[in-house]
Amino acid sequence: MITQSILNGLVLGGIYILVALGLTLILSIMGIVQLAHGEVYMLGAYAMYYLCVHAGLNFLLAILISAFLVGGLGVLLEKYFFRPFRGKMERALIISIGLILLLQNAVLVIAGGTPRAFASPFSGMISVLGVTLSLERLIVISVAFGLVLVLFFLIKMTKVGQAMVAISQDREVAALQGINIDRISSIAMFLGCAFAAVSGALVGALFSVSPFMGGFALMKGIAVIILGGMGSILGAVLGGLLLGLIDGVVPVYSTTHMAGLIGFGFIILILLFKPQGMLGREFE
Amino acid sequence: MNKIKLGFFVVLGFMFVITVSQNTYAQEAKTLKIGAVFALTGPAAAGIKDCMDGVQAAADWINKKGGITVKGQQYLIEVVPEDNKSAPDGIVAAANKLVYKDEVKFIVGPVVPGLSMAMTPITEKAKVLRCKVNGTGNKAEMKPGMLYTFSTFMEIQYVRSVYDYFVKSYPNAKKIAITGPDEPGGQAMVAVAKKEAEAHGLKVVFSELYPFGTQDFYPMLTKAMAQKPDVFDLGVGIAPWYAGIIKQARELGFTGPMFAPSATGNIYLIPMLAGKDFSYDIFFLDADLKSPKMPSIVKEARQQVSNKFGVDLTFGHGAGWESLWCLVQAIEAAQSLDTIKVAKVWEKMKSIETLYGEGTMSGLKDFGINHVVLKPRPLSRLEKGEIEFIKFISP
Repeated sequence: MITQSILNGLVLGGIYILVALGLTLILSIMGIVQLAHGEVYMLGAYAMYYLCVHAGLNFLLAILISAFLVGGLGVLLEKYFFRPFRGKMERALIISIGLILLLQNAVLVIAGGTPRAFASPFSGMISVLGVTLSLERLIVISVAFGLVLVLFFLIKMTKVGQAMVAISQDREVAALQGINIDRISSIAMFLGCAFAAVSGALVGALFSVSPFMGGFALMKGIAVIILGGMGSILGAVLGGLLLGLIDGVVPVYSTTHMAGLIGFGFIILILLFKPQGMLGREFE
Repeated sequence: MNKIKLGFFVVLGFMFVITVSQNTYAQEAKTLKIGAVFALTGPAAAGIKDCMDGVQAAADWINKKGGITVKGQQYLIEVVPEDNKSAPDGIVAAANKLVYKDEVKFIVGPVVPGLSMAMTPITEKAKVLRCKVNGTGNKAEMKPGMLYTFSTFMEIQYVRSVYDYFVKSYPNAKKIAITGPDEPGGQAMVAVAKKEAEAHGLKVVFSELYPFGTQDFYPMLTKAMAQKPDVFDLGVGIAPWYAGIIKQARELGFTGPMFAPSATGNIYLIPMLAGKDFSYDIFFLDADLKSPKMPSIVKEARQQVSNKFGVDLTFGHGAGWESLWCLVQAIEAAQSLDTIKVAKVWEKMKSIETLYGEGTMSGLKDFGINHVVLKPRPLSRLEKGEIEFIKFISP
């Protein structure tokens, strides 16, 4: 039972990491908490549903197109909704709350409130030594860690990544060095939203797709980046894994409520001793 | 020329008569505003939005038949819809708006027991007559002193009959796992199910409530499966939750029967969300509304919902439909719009029409108040992803 519960926790950790990656990237580059990130994740799941079920596209191709479309939407959101309020955290927060309502209701009008589902091609089960896991859950873990590696590579090995690091450390100095803040912000938003779309697509295949699925993602995503440290990718990985393992293991030996209690208790404890989170830095 | 003139005046005369008669009709028919409060957003919306559409379809159907007649006065129903946002604060805001801004005297909804309980003090204080779409049977949902709160059914009244059916159909099942959402209705259902399971010779090896809106049931199911149950009672819930548990339990290797002594809101969603391969050996207190064995009124409701919304009738539509229809029957039986009089007549009604057959008023024994419609309920089975009607059961 312990092995099964750890595996459950790793899957949950994978989901949390997928959501938190985009959120933390946007936070570190743009300095805003994008509260509508859950809705972007939901849009990714809906794009996937329409591409797979209605357009009949291959699952992997549909994920790529969905990531590209939602990433593109992110670029528009950055340009028209967030750029005018750069550096004004409160206004950006209000904008993102407005976006939650706008995107949720737009999907409600277009797709209705009935949950949707689409089949993943990874539908088999793997059973080893009494531990069972569906292939689609294994894919979630793999994609989560794969995307972490992609992001690390991007940040460490590319000019764009280094520009992101510079902006996240000091936006004004980065601008004085000739870094195009607008362009890098657009790229960050594109990547953040594309990551959310990928996680929405994978989680949508795992559970179901509904206009309100973003609330859970946002709550967990924010918890992960608070725990791991605002703006830290490694922090998001560590925070996601920790919360995932707590949510996966504790309910097996106690209750789901106890998992919530321990998870959030742990966050409070970390914040008491390290207010910027485990691997984070302070934001002005 | 004279003939042309005569013809002209005859046509004019006809037009005058038609116009006057239409005006007279319009003057005679008054509007009765009836509030409808359901989860249109939030975690419960997925299975409950259909109830609101069912209310709207029923209002059109009743209006087409001439509306409500009280002492010769005709009233056409105007539904005032409100979203309770699946949350207590949402439903309190909706109830306050309906009662004090829209000044409705009659309300239908909601579905979720915890939300119903949150709005009860507002409607009771204002003497607004309310027909809940259903209830599970938590003692706080329906109790003496709630003079203006009625329900079209209470799930706990049917649990015994469902367990009767189960033990007859599965005599070899010995160990049961019982679950449900952690909200007042879910808690009440799990408590009743545990008693009934034991009374029917089943050993309850696992019992747990999951947080409202849970999607990943693997942790809970891992714990349940360790107890090697023969059967799962899924308690009360909505289709996406049931589908999540079914899919994930099957993934973890559970191949036995699963059932819920409760409706799903939309049983057709379950094979769609859980997958056809996993949708087997499952039954619900829900309806295959396409079955030819359904009463003719169900066919009328199907037609009405299909015409208005372009979708197939679901149990959720039907539940919304019944809440308005039962309320209307009570108003007509009382021949009054005074909520005090309607409530007094309603609780004594011996016969009340429902979609699934004739019902009567009950609840005195279970809740200390005769405010619950007791009616036949359809039991349906999921096998190879297909839904089939089994039979109607009554407590």
